[in-house]
Amino acid sequence: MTSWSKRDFAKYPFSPQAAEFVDSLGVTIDQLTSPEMARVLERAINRAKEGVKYAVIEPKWDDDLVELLSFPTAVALVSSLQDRYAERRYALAEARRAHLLLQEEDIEKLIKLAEQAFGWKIRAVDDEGFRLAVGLLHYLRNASSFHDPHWKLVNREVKLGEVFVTKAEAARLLQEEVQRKLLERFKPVQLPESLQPYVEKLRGEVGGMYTEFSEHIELEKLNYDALPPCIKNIIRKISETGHASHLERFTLASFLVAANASVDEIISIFRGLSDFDEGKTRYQVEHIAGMRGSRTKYSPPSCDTLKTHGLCVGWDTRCGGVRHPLAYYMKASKKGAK
Amino acid sequence: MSEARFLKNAFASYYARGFDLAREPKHIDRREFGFTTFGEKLVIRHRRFSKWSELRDFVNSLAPADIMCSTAIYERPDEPMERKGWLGAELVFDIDADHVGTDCLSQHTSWFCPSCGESGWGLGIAKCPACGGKVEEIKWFCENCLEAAKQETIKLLDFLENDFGFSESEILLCFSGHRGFHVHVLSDEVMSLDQQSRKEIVDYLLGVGLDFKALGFAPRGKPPMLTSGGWRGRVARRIYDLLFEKAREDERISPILEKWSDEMPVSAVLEVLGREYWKLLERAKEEVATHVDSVVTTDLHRIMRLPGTLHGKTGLLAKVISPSEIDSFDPFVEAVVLPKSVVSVSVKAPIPEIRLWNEAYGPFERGQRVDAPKALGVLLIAKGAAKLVE
Repeated sequence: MTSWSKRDFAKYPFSPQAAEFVDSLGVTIDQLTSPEMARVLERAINRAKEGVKYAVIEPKWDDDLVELLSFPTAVALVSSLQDRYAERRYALAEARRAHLLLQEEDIEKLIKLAEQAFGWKIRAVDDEGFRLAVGLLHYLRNASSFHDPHWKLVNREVKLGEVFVTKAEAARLLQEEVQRKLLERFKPVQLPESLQPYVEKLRGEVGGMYTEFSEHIELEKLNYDALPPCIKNIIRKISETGHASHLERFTLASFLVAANASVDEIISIFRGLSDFDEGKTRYQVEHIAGMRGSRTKYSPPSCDTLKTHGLCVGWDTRCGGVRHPLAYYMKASKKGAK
Repeated sequence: MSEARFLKNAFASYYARGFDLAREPKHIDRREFGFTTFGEKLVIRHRRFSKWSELRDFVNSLAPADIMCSTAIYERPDEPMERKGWLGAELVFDIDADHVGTDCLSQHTSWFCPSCGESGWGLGIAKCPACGGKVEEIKWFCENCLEAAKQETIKLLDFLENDFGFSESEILLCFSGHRGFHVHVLSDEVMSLDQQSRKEIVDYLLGVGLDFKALGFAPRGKPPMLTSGGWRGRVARRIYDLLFEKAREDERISPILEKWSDEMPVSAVLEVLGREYWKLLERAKEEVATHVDSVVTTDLHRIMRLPGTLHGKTGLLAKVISPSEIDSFDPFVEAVVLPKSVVSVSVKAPIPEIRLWNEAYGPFERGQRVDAPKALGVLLIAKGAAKLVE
């Protein structure tokens, strides 16, 4: 197990080793529309579409080379949309695909990928049921945005700069790593004229999803324009970075519940989170809405609380005399209606 | 001579020969420097120096009260914050007696009223009882609070070395020059840590979010071992020590200790101690935690005292200490670098006993005239508790 196979490249096309192999083939971007590349282009378009639309790419293929070449092509197609939201969704989809494959991988190969593609410090161990020791800084970089308490460093086995994890946990950490590396990779590209129709087709199917979705909120019940700046900021953060702290999530969900948004609407906003889990989110939102558990409806935090925790993003003109974000929203909605 | 002039002269003559003790930061030309001055109490920020000798010349001509350096490196350190271009930051920790939770501070804080000249002892006095004017609070240090800060720092170093795996050569430790210690981790790999990761590190040191159940301290979990890494091992070892002490007066304890090889007999401990067990866990947690200032570590744009320079409120040196020598470090001897030559001062506000070198000075009362060694004179004047006698 010292060299990479073509199958490995197809599985993990974002690794520098795979990129080197692609370079060595000497395929240029102009050749993509030639008949012999038809399958690559077709897979790339599907890959980009699936990725942006559903944030999922099914890890199933029969030809390794087609699968591998479709990756840089899909990245180029998504880049040319010049839509940050699409890029983020696509990066998440590729990262999830890698996660699924890594879960099935043997431990030596997982270590090799982590070391060679991402420069991790990682080694196999046998310590109280843990199988891997990951360098502290690589652990923190990828786990510090997770919210489940078992990921918190304080609840981990930490020794001499290494954090002990299971294989499944290492695969999950690598998902974050893949996503971040991919996001860094998008840059403006000039695709040849012959590919433009494909880009336009893709744009037609997935472009402007974010705009569509914010209009959608407006059309339903929620008045997007009337949202206070603190709440808008959390929505923006989720859509741009895919991350939000526990308090940010609670603030947003409890605010939207109080502002009469439907559970489905709220879930659609949370869908932008990189660790989004529909079942769990639905449960939590319903809990906050008082539809479950103790049946108490939680009210959103006041301006004071938001300030203590650094979630108040400062003033805009409607914040005057307002001590609660809901008061802002009522005031702003009325003004808008007149 | 004005007090400001006196302090400035004392600092200037120190820096003329003592600047060599200052520690040059890596990438000096990418650091932001900040200064405060005596007298008008100006704050100068966003200064850049392309080399060490430039900084030395600047310090020699200005004789500032405080010399601060950014823990971060920037593309353009001399521009306003939003245009600086952050490139990375050292991982830093500040341990201050204020955060350590000693109760002596209330006993050695005095106040002075600049409008009527009244003074007295007491912490948190907002208004002068004599004239109602705003008072200046003067916080003093003592052997007790500096020793507590030192013990916290020793715990921190243990976390940094044994849990986080930093070597002594990557750690720069110095006395703060006042009521605590600063620790900088200088290795290249920590420079890019984001704020969230630094917060995780702080939570780890403080024990924030610690889940005893997840760590195996509840029955039916995977029991912690004395040799376990991280908090599992630390809390287990602390519990063992606490029980060992308790065994002398409580005969129920010895059988537990006998049963305890490497793996903690969680159920047996719980059975014997009952509800007391959870209190014992909380106590162990409190004793294992090291109380760093969470704001300092998570601030990516902090400026901190340049190691090896004087503190403007004490005249003491923020002396660089080798981590292995912190145990024997005595700030009241080793950080005192100003001369012994005598200066006469008159006391404005009550001053507790202060030891410098191996001499005890004070306590002093308002109105008292003191012939003090210059190091003490600077400390008393810089703190605003005394004035020069011409």
